[in-house]
Amino acid sequence: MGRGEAGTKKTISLEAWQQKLDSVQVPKEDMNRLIMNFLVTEGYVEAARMFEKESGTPPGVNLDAITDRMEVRRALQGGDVEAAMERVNDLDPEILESQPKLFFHLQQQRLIELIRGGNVEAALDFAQEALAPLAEENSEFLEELERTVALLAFEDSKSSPVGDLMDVAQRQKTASELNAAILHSQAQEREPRLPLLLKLLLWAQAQLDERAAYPRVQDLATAQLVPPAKTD
Amino acid sequence: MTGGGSGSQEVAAVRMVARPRELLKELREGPDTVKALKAIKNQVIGSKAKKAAFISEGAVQQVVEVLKDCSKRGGSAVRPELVQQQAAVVIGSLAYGTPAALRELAAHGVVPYLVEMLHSSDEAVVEAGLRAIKLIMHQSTPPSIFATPEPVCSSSACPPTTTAPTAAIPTSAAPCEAVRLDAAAMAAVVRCLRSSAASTGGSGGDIASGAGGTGLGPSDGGSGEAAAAMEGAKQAEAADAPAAAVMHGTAPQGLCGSQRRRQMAAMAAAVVACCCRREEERCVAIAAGAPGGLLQLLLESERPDAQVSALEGLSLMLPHHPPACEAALACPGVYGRLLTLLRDSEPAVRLLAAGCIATLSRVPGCTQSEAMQRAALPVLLRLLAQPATRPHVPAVLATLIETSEPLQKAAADADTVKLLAGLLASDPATTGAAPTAATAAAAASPSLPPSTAVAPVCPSCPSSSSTGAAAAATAACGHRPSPASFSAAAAVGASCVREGCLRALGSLCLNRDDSRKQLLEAKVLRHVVRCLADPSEGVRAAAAQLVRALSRCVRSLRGGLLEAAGGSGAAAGGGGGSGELAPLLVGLLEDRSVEVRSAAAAALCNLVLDFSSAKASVLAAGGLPRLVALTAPHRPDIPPRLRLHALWALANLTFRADAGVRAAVMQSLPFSRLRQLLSESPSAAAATAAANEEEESGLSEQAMVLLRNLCMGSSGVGPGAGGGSAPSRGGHFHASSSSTCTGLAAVLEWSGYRSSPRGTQALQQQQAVQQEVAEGEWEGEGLLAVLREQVEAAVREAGLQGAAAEGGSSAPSPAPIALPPRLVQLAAHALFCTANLLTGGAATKHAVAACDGLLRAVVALLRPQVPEQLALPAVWCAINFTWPAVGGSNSSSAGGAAAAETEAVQARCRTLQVLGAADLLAELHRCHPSRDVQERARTALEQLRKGAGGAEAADAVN
Repeated sequence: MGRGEAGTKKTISLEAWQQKLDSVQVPKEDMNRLIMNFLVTEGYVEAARMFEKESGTPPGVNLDAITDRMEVRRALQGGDVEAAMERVNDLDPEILESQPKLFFHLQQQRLIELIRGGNVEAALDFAQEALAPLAEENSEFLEELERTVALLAFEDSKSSPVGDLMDVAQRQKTASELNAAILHSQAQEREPRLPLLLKLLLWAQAQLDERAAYPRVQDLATAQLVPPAKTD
Repeated sequence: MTGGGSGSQEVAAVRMVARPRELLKELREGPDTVKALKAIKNQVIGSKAKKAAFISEGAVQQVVEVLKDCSKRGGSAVRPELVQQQAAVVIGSLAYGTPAALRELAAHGVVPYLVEMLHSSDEAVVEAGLRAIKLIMHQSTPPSIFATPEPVCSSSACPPTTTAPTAAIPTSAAPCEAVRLDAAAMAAVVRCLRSSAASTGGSGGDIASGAGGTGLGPSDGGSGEAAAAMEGAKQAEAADAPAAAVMHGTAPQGLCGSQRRRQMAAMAAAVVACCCRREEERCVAIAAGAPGGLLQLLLESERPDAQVSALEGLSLMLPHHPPACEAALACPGVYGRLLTLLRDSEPAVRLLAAGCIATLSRVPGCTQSEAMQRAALPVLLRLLAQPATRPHVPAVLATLIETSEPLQKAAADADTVKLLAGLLASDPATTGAAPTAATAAAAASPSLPPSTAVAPVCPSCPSSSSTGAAAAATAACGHRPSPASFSAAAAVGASCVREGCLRALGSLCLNRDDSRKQLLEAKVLRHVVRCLADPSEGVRAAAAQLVRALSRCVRSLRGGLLEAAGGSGAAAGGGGGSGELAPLLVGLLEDRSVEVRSAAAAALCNLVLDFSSAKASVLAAGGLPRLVALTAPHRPDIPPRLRLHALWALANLTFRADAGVRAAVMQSLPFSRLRQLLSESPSAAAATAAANEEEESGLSEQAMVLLRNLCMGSSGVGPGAGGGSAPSRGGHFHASSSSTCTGLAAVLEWSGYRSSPRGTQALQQQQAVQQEVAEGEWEGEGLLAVLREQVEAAVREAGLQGAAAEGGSSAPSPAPIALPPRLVQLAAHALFCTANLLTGGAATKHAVAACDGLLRAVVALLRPQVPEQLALPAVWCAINFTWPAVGGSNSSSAGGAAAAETEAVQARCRTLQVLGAADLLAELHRCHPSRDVQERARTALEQLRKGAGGAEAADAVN
């Protein structure tokens, strides 16, 4: 930001900002509902039950109804991709049928789990039989397949350049994708509200940056307000 | 967490490599059919390679056999419901994206067995059957507008998009023909739709209940919470703010109590929507009561996918089923719901909502049509501006703006002409020399019905009456009445895009000159002209309609159309100029579609009016007999509008035409036909609708215009069809060439004034004919009788009959008589016709003079209270009547003839005087409100007195 520009911006002090923030009343129930929405949408049934007990927030849905979704997630996060896929097929056979990308990601995850288990032969067989045909049809898939098979080339695949695939986060990612697809097939929201609100916060700050200097939230994890640098 | 289950992975690897053959063997011989089916299911879902492998091993037949067995043995199977369920899932998966399987499934007649499942008491079985039917129908019907790379909703099962051309799913007509739902199947599906849509509350089977390995067992539970959530959902609906409901976390998730039912309703709606893309099944669906179910679903369901399916089905059915439109409009919620969907985040949903609005807003009972149209237009215009949705917009837009000039203006102001023209120009089929295979396929495919052909195929839908009514409502413009092409836009792609563009452009250009100008500037006329020869009827009709709209402006004719046609003709080795457009349009006069013929006739109408080269090329292309054939009465295949356009074209063809053209018209068109057209009274012929009456009266008027044009002197004498100025160029009459006289004689003779060979032969024998005419050998009144009838009708209406004797001394300025405009017009044409005839040779004049009735009627109109439109031509008749005949006065070679003419003039003047014309003319001169009439009356009076031999006549006037 240039000197001339800076002069045209309004500067808001931390005190004034805090005052404004304090004047906004967010009912605790709304906050609780946001959290419950997150837990339910992401399929954390037990946590939702606990939260309901502690806060008295109704989950809004029959928690038993999300058991299947939770089990799918649990299977996937536990590395049993096949069980997760079978369960999804029982739940709604169209989900994997109609979403090639999701289907590929699940098969890719299966391959990763095979590699993780050290079963090289089975991994290669699987890659050839189940993944190669998918990659033939889609160059994007091919690239991802190549990256995944590259795991086999390293002694310690976790510290390899494609080590991220071996990470728990990769399972989490695939699980979330599948969870969203199931939710959508049930005509429910794909994503919880909470991350959406955080995105909204970042967007609003970016908009505001052009017009004013104000106490920003720099780190979403801490939500600490950083006062604006003094301008002369 | 990370280390979990290496054992299961090995099992997975082993199972994964299990060969299709082994699994199918297990299915045949193994003890656990369900287990084998599930294994197959988990192999084939999502994997095209696996599907292909299983299909090649005969999986389709085998699984179908399993399903059939279940149905046969009933309860004797171990777990028949589970077997049915899993078999249906496998069948649905095999059908998905593999035309080969689809054909095989059709060959094995699988649908009845799936339909049977719909009657099961086990909801899971119903669901599985419905899902399989949905997948099969989805694959065997043309793609919807949702066939975009990013599926709108997973459960509407969009075909996977792939980049490899070999793997791409062909959406051609071949697999589309494979599976169809009959009435019984449709009834079962609609039953699912209705019962599921109706179940808004109560016991809910939770789809997600983890009942063992199946996960599909119904469980009646959680009714308290579900009911509460339902209440919330209802409130949210009442508030018409689903977004707000979601924000508070109550709505969609709370619906899981009856989630399966709702999902089934969505699937049933999807099946119906698929079926509606094909005409016959649409009829079956309508007959099965689908519209009501879809409507209910649209209004009550909170599931976006259900709403979308309902919306698609309705958008396809409403144009063909007026009762459904009325039912929809009777629901107070429908307006709000459609307006909400018009703001949906999904462009395709907005488009479908706009399509429904376009249809509903044109239903007579629609109370908010203007508001709805105004809401839909900007949405459509924005969708048109987006390349992704652009191709689907024109058809809807055309339907929306067709009947509303304000909307046309609004659309034109938004640069729509340019966008549509660009779309038209980017269409490969209109730019290439020959229609592509795709367009040919589209034209051949029965899934693209022309709106007009719907009725006969489908007796159960009273669409014919509705389209008829719509046709009547828009008859003046000659528009396609039904927006059937909107539905087809979803179905057949390219040709529908073309048709939509052309129709929308036709609407925009019909009454708007600035739109025509914009279209000229867009330089797409070549494409438009090429579309005249498109394989699709709808495209041809729309192109002809657009050409018609453009032909209303001489500039666009001269500067664009004729050139464009010439250009395309030059490429094909033909000549330039109008030579190419005319034959194309003439060819369309024999099109099998009424719409096409009608629009082509209307376009020809304008084309031949001003361009002599166009007249010639229409004749050369054989247009004359075709136009004449289209004026035939009592033909069910020729609606009144088409007759009118054809006759109008003939009338315009004769406007300022040279003798050759007029002779050709007379040769092709029997006078008896013309008489008939004149005699068909509006009340007699199907005057149920006001528009019909208009067409009938238009017929008689154009018949008179045609006669009047035929009676005009040779080229350049004056306009005949337009204003009443034709014979007012008095000076010209004396200079009329002898060809005029022969022409007029030919007209008289054509009209059967005397019986003799017709046409060119007659022209060759003109001298002889004139001779005979001079001798007064008449066998009938022909044309003169027609003229007499028309003028007498006006006299009767004005109450002037038998009043000739009392003329002269009445009040100075009597009140003008009000006559029906139609009557005045016809009589005026007849009077001008008479006046023109009187500019002919001695024989013609004599013939008119001999027609006492006509003369009396003309004289009766020489009154101050007669409106100028009639009084003026009546005076002209008097002037021309008292003028020496051309042949007599101008011919220096025949002195005897001149002397005879002088005598004849005297005789004619005396005849007029006997009828009291002198007093009447004097009166007219004195007190007719029109200055023009006064002046002409004086001229007539002077001539009358001079001709009668009295020099005192002129003094008396001055």
